[in-house]
Amino acid sequence: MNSKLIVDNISKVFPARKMATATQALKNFSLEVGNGEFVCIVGPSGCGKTTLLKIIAGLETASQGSVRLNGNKVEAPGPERGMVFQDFALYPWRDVVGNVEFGPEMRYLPRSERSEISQKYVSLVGMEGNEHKYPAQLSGGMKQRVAIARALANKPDILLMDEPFGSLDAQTRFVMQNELLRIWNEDRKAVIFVTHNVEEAVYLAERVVVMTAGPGAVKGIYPIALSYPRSRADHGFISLREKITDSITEEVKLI
Amino acid sequence: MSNSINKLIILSLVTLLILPSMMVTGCSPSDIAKVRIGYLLGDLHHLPLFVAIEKGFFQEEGIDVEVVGPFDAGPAEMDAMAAGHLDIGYVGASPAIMSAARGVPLAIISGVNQEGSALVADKGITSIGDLRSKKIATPAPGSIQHIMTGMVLSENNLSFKDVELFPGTIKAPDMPLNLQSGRISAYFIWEPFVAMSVVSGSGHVLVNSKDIWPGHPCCVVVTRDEFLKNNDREVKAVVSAHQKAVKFIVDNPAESKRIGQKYTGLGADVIDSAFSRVKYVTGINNNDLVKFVNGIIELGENGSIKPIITRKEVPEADDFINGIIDLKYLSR
Amino acid sequence: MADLPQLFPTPVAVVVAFKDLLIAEGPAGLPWAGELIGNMLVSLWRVIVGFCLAAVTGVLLGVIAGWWPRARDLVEPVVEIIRPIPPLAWVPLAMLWFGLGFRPAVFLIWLGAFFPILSNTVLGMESTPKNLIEVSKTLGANSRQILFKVGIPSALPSIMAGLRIGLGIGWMCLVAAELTGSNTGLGYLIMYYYSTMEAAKMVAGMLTIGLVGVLAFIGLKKLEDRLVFWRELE
Repeated sequence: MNSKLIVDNISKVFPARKMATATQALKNFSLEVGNGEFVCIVGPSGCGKTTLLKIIAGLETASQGSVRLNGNKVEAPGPERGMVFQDFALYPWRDVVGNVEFGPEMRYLPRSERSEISQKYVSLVGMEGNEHKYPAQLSGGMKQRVAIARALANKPDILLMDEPFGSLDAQTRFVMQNELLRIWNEDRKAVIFVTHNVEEAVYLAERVVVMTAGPGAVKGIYPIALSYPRSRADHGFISLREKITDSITEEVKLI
Repeated sequence: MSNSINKLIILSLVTLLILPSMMVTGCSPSDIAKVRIGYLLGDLHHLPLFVAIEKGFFQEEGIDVEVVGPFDAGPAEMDAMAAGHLDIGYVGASPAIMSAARGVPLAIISGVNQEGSALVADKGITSIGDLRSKKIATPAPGSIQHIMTGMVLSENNLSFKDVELFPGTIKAPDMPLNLQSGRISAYFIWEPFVAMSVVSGSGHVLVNSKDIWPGHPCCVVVTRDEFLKNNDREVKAVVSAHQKAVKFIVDNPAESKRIGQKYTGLGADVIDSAFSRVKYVTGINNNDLVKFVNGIIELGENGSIKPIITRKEVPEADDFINGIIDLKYLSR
Repeated sequence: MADLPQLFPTPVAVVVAFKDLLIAEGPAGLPWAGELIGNMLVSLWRVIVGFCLAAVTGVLLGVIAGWWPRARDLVEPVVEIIRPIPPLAWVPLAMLWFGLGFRPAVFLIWLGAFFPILSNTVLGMESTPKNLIEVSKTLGANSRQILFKVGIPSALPSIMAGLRIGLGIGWMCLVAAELTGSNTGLGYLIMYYYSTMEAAKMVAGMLTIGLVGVLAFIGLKKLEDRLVFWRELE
């Protein structure tokens, strides 16, 4: 496989603090994500999914092991790894365009280039006409579209998404799943998508990685060989969903 | 819901309006256990009050006294009296007169002292003329010291406009330090705050108040009309004790000075120096007070100071002064 | 009590006092402005200088202490000791250190306004949402950019609230400052007419302080609404 992201044997221990004993969040986790591949990571809550994503993003450092992107070791956050948070993390004092242009602005791109970029990604996520609205004026789904556009505006090699649709209602969630697939189809970035919703994972991903309960490690990897657009009522879809759900349930029982 | 909120608002407004008048009228004068006497902070002119306490003159007269204060300045003491929190006050004649001019029913029942103030200046200032554009502190506007500052300036062809005056915003006890640190160049004040700068060497007496106006009035004993009406025995007793104390000071300066030291916390040298300028007397010369009132009115009329007492309030100074002075309790 | 106008002036007397004070000659240097307006201008100037000093020092130190925990550990103990001392308690020292008139007044106003500005700024900086900082890092912002483009804008509502509170307290300290050691300003005006037992003029001075204070407050609130408009959008 022409691999772009290599997560190699990562462990993460949070040292003991005043009130808490030391905890091991990740143990010997390894994963490779190919160019433009869509990978979902599912697992019981507390299995270290978010920690893993933050280590890949460079926001946390691994206690052991390494992350490489295109052969370069990841040591700090960088624009080549865009991240989308569950709670959107939009700048409330910036309008849609201002949020999308944040990355280019930090790189001191000229104004004309910045607005070209923001125009492109605002329309990619279907937010034309809302360019000058502020986050407080947007619905949850629209906020997440802006957050995705903002991450893409930095032209990352990989998009790290931490339960991005977790706070949306069911209807919006379905719409956003389809929108994400459309965007991914047009933009073809690699995506690591963390979710605790198995159906969502099977609907979106080319591969689903199931993690063990904490400390998190890879329990199993399930290729989803269904063609897009997928049907949730499809027999193959349902059986994969059940298989993965059973695998997670085993982990939950262990706790 | 909104109705009850309305009621609440009305109730609190009513309370707010009634409360102050309750506080003012709360204590009726006839059932007082102790006579409440006010005085000023560290003012050596009020020594008779402390001599009377030290020597037990009030007990001899069969009354119990509660000392209230010290007040920072005369106006505050007169306000407390107008509001009924004080029965008797040792205070400057000026705030007493001002309070009466504003319609507060009161009576001056004895003198305390004459003279005993001075214009103190730093060493660099040797004549009144040197005071031009200098910072000068005085007690409250309209006080005897404030008015006498105006008098001494005009005798030297200066006016308040030629100096930078701080009337009443530098407290008497703070004046010596402000002179020493060079914040002000001169101040006109009562004792012992003259003596403090003289003895420490940070200032000298530029003019004694007695050289501006020999025998000028200074502190007096004041009471509320209402108290006077209902407490004849107590007023008589206070005046007798006060009279004994003044006589004691005149007859026993050495012991009086020791009491003065105890009461002001100052050294013997400062009290000695201060004593040389104060004249303790119970008598009051009505004409001097008339002259003082007319002086304030005229200074206001000719624009030397902002009008403090007007002809509208006091059409006839003679009648006004005779109306508030009641010396019948002084024994001859 | 009605016969004690020196304690309870009537509304009519206060209106007349207003008129008299507007006409009477103003303080030295501003005789043309009238006694009330002239002294108000003097006070206003003191408040503006003291408040601006407090705004600059309070926001600056607040940003530093709110952003770098180590700086906060240095600043906090000192601030916690000084903060509870009421500005009024500083009046004698202010006179000793700064003399009379303008400078001690500015010092006291600064002192009163500084702490609410400082602590609100620290609070605002400290409560910059962690996810905003993280997302900014992933978007390629360096630490200076995160401070200026994320931390400070995010703290702005809190900073503005601190400025508003600071202005109110500073305005109150002004009166305390001018009651002693001053011969101009609205506080002095009040003290003067307290001394001469002219309550109507005193009340007129007090109402002016209230009025100007409210106007300044409204002005700052307008500025705040404009700067942190995004708070009001929902």
